[in-house]
Amino acid sequence: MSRVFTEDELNALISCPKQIEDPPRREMRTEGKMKRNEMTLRSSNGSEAFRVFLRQSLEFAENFSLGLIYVPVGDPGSFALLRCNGQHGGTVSQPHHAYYHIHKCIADDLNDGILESRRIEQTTAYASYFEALYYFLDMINLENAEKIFPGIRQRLLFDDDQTLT
Amino acid sequence: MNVTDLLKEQFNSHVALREKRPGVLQLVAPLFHEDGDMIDLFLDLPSETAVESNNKIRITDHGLTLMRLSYSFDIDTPNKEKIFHRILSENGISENDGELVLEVPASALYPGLLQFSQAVSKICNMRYFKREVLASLFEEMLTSFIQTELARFKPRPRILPMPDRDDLEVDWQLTPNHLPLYLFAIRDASHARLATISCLEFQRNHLKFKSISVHEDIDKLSRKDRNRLTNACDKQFTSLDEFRQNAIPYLEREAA
Repeated sequence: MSRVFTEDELNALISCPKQIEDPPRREMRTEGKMKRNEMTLRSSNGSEAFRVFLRQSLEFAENFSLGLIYVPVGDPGSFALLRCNGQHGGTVSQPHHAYYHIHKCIADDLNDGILESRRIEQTTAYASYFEALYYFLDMINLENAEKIFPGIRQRLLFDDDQTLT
Repeated sequence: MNVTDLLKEQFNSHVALREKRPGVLQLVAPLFHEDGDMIDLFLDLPSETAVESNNKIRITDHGLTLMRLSYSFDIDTPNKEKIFHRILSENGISENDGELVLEVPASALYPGLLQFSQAVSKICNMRYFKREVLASLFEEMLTSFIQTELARFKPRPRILPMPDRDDLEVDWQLTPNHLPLYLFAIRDASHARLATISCLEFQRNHLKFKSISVHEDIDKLSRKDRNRLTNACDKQFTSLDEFRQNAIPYLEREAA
């Protein structure tokens, strides 16, 4: 990774307005023991490229991960800026507790060539896949998210199905 | 307390089981992925009851390893499948519809768990086979091949055929006969365009040379980039593998 990052730049990449380049499938597709979906995004100013993955375990609905991958133009190293994770096993900071948490990468790590998103923050912002999706789309500032994920607000309020989209 | 006691104490006090679902116990142990998430290990047991030493215990990941890998890497080619199945077989793991499983007798649970977690780590590390990571190795692998296998063609790196034009650098010069043969390593569209411009400029200045391009993957280029380079360059190899297989016969024909 030739570029040097700051924390502010990473936060700006997460929150900059984004538009869909390749939309996700209408429904998540099943593969093995998971449901999955993908989409590619571009910053609204056209300068930055991103990839989004949406994953949910078929057997454990509380195990999911929604990630925003940054794809630097002209640089071979892509990395996850943000991952909203479900309530899987523990983490290195709290091994004995399963909790909803968010992974973010650390600028110093990236500048040292470490591409793993090692900053882990416990969150109470969501408590299900669908709430996490709503939160995630808001965090990454996806424009017209309602068009791509129609009825997301209504489903959040009234729908029990945690495996949609 | 000696080191053995220390390890015994630390391992013992850092292992716990949590009921994930009825009949599924999740292992809480200090086994972590690089991002700090705990490795997902489960024991499919009715409950945490006494087991006989010869009872079989099913260690499984319930499909979460391949889900994690899929964040950045998919096993979607025969070669990747081959590597995946090799890791599984070398670690005694079976796979059923995306779920990794190891059955061990109760007496071998501890080594079984370590073996399983190692296999999980290796599978997760398949993400290093991402094209974008391997692409950065392309030039290194090309260099290694040229230096070891093409030494008799007198390879010289980073040549400036027009000394006053340091923007038109050639990656390698080979000399199979009296004419210099300029080799361009093409990793992406920008390299393809630079090679095209260089060849055209050398021709315009009446340099005597031949040119070859070695692509990391020609299919990554747009049709226009491919066409421009094809019109400017004398010979192209569509991939590094292709170059490795056919470079020597080609250069021998040039030398004849």
